Amino acid sequence: MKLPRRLRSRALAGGGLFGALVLGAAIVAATTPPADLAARTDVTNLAFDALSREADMFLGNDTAGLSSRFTGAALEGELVLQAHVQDLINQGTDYPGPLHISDQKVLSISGGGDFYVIEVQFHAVRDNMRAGKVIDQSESDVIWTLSVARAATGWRISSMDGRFAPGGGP
Amino acid sequence: MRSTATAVVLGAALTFLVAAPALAYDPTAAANYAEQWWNSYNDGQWPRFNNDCTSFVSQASWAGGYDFDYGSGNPWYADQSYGAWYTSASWSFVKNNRGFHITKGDPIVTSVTGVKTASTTGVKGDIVYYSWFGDATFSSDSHATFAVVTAGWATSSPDYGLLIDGHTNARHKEYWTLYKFNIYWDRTIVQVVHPLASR
Repeated sequence: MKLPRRLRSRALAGGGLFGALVLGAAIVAATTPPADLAARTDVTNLAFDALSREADMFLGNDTAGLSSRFTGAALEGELVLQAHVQDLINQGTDYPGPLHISDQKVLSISGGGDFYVIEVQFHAVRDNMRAGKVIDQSESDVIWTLSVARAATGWRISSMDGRFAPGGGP
Repeated sequence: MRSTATAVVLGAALTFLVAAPALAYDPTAAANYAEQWWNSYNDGQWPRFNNDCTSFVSQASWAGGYDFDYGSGNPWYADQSYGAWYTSASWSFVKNNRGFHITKGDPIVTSVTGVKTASTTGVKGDIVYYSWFGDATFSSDSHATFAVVTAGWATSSPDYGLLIDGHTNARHKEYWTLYKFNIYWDRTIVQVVHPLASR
């Protein structure tokens, strides 16, 4: 594919790092197959959809089972997490309410074909509940790393890991 | 007579050489160190790490009288030689630091998951370990802070209980579970380890 003359001339005339970057970016854009761009769009949409589902996760409303992404021995699986929250309620102690998510953005996306890894960062505020009422909040910046694979029924999240963004956690 | 005296002297010397040096841990001195350096770095004395939560705890432990341990298994030290620092894994990694203290016999006095407001049996000079996403081995996404109770316990609800100082994000006399900064507090394991005053 031939690059636009303006890009070529600017890259060549610059002769420096900026010119090389412009030329490199143009080559990447020009050589990325349209199918891959479409897949990356699908993967990004899936990641943001997972975020919105996470925001809905509250007392078992996590229909996608996303809470099972954290594979810690103490809390493994959606049912365990739900039971844990129910225990907290039964004990009369505080329990986690909904998340309010904002400023979500894609940090990176890699892979190709039927498999991608995407990193998304977001800011979240969680309502903390007691006896059905919000009593205070917790606030973090979080990075999710999602492995996404194409299945017969469409794109699916095959694994998820979370960590706090630098400076945005406890 | 002379041989008896020699044997006694020799025996005393051997006892001194063989016996492990008595360790005296002063939790107040450790907490004072944490209070002094919670918002800065003691670069003149210790190496600096980007994620320095555990090395900060190690520094406070050393200030409290915990001595370097070069023994096999899980040593704990930070040495400088010809301008370069050599540190054990237990100096700066949560999993290893926790393992070191447990190996030395320091008891876990509190271990809870998903608790936000319950109080703890920890006291000043204790170490608090966190596994944010419930990894019971504290291998990943973990954290360590230092308990710095200076005047009993915080009593204002809901933030009652132990208070801590910590790095990497500078925290000063924060409520012990750090739930304010952790939207996943419901799945976080928090453990308090109590360094023994002597062993």
